[in-house]
Amino acid sequence: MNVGHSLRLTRIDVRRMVRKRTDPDNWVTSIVSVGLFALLTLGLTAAGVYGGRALGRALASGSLDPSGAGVATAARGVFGVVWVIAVVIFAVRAVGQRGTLTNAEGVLTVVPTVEAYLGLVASELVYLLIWTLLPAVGAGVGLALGTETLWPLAGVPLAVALGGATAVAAAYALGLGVRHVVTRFPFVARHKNGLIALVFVLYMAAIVSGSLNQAVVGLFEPMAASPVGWYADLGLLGLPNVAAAATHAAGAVVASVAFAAVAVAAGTAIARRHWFADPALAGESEDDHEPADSATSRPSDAVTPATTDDDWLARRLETVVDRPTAALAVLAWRRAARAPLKLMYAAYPLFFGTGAFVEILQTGEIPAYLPYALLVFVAWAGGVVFTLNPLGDQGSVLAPTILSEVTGRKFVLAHVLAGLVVVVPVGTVLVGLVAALSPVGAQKTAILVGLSPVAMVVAAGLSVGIGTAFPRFEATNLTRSMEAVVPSPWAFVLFSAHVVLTAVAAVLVGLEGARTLGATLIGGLASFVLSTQVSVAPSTLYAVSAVALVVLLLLPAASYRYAVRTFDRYELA
Amino acid sequence: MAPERPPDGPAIETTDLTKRFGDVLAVDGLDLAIDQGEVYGFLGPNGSGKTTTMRMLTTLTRPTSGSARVMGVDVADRRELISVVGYLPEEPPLFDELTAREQLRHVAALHDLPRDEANDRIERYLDRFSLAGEADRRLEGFSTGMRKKVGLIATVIHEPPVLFLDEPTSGLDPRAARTVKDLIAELSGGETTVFLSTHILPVVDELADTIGVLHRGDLVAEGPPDRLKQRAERGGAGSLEDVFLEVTTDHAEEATATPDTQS
Repeated sequence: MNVGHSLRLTRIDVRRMVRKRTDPDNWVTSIVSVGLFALLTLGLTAAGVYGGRALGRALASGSLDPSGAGVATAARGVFGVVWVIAVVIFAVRAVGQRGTLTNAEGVLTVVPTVEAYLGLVASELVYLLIWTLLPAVGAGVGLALGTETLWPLAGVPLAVALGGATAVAAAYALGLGVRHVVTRFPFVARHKNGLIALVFVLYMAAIVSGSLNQAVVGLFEPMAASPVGWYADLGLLGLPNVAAAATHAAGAVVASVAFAAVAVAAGTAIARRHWFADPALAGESEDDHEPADSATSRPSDAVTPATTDDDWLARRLETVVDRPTAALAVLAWRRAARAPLKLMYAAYPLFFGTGAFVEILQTGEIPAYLPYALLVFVAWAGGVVFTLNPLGDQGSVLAPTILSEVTGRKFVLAHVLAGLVVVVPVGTVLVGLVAALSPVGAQKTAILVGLSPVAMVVAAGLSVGIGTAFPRFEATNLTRSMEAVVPSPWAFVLFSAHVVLTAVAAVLVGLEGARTLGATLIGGLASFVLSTQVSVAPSTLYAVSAVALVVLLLLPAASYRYAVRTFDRYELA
Repeated sequence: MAPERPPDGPAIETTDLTKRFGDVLAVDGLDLAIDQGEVYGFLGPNGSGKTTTMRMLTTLTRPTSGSARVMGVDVADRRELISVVGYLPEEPPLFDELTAREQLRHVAALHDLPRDEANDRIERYLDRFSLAGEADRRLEGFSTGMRKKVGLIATVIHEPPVLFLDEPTSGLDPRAARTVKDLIAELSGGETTVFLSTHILPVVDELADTIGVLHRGDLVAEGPPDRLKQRAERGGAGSLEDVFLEVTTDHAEEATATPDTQS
């Protein structure tokens, strides 16, 4: 085995990642990406130094736990739980994005599988350490300063590096095994989308019900007692008033090497099966083996038979719109139904609603603000599902679509229609139900129900123009086996800003209390920024909001017209 | 509604057709006159401007200067032009989530073909390309060759009078390639004009009535295959490959290469 080959693969993998993140062609994204990374790591490092020094001083003074046993146990438990979380994160990465080699044919025909596998695991470790090593060094420096001992300078980073290595080695083998089951077993592969949705629902349920927190708390003691907790001994060895055991510290080093070796061996065995196995779903990803030219060479269950009766829906729709428009709308629905996870981004804002769900579960009541928030969300969702990237969604088929009887008017109408037919009934019913069950009252419920379709129509009209102005054709990996063309960040930001601004303007126009609060907040903020007393009258805010609301509500019409014109004149680069 | 064909005029006609991308001159003053029913083999090295030319002739890219007409329709008039052209890019434009039959029905609907007529044509072409048994499988599981066949059917489904085909036989096995070549020959026999871009010289040699060679955006050679072969350095025994290599060799490269080859 040539470890040099593995390290070369690691180096290439990391270099590709760095170049992708610092691509000068996408300089805005690069600056944001690198800036966020620098901000977070430097912030965590500074926090590590500060927190480490404070902890070190407390340890040195004996104010925490003079016996030292409690501190050691707590540290072992924390390290153990963090180790488990790291395993879960990196296992999920292996199942989704990182379970296969890039350019697999070019690697696996050149180096043995074990070298390729080790290279991939090592690159995962590098990604872990890129985020954690500097903060670990910061914490080590802080502890060394606080306790006036030298060992933490080396011990903390060493513990993080060794703990990271075992976590990644275990996670990757585990993730690859799960991936093998998900992608190579026909039954599981056929129901992959449903299973992913189920896992997502269970995960959300665990968060909302508090089970996840309980599980993490429950892990604390067993992990503190396990050898994984020994990494804490390694990091904190020799600190005053900490009962860290030298045998545990030494054991952590030796056991890490042995554990990582076993995990890599096990993972290599899985990789030998997985990377060379026929996919259960032919053509599931570009990195899987190319199916042979003859259909008979594929397993009989290689593809999911699709409906042949695809005329029914189109015929129904053709009673309302012309044939090309109906075809485009049906196409949007069919593609969404066949790959629903590609629309997962539309559900992202639901994460912000976790607090509301918890509140509902705990109190048994729906908060009064929820129907309003839901109205904003359904308007947003109605705008992003089919209309925020209509050109990009066509992908390579855009050229034939342009060269067909489809005009800009038909193209845009089809996408707006496809979205509204789905979201208007669902969104309106949802808002109505939540409003009816909330304490907002019958009158406001009626207003909210009436506003819902209007909001969704307005949002769709706006988003189709923004999506056409900022098309995105490049696919993004949702998982390694699933790529999707999601709307561009600019389209997301501009559309979301419009929805939020419209909602804020509407609230300021409609609610006197909100106007008063808003005027006070704006006045206070302006006074702080300008260093002089500034006051804003609620009536002024009302006038500005009303004008803004009119403009914001008129924008979608212009946006719609822009989309029509753009399609009619669209040229390929 | 297809515009009336010009009775005697060329199917494709370009005058000083030029395309620049910034400082890069992709197509330089191209003059073409291709008769109806002709198969025009369009050759050229990678990056010579073939795809750009086809995109200009199908309205997908606007010329920087010059003019072009396809079946008498100005290429600036997309609405009129679409009914007379079919374009197959090198990478077949397909939706992976659809089955082959669904994809073809979708394209037929975009062309507003009556449903029954569309279904008849789809079945006929699927059968001809030996895809009938695979038609209800999703395209994500199709091989390169199968995808190419579906793309080709989608291109000809509305039976346009002018076809622009970019590498229609690449990735196909010999039998499928034969089917494609037969189809092209049959279509051109029925007065369909085929603008055929490919690197597979035997295909051009077999099918083309006229060959044009594009090099760095310039049309450096044009004529019937036999006449071009006679132009080759080795006289009457020259092959199309000899012609291609001769007309696409840069003199600067030759001058650089000469001392080495002589030594």
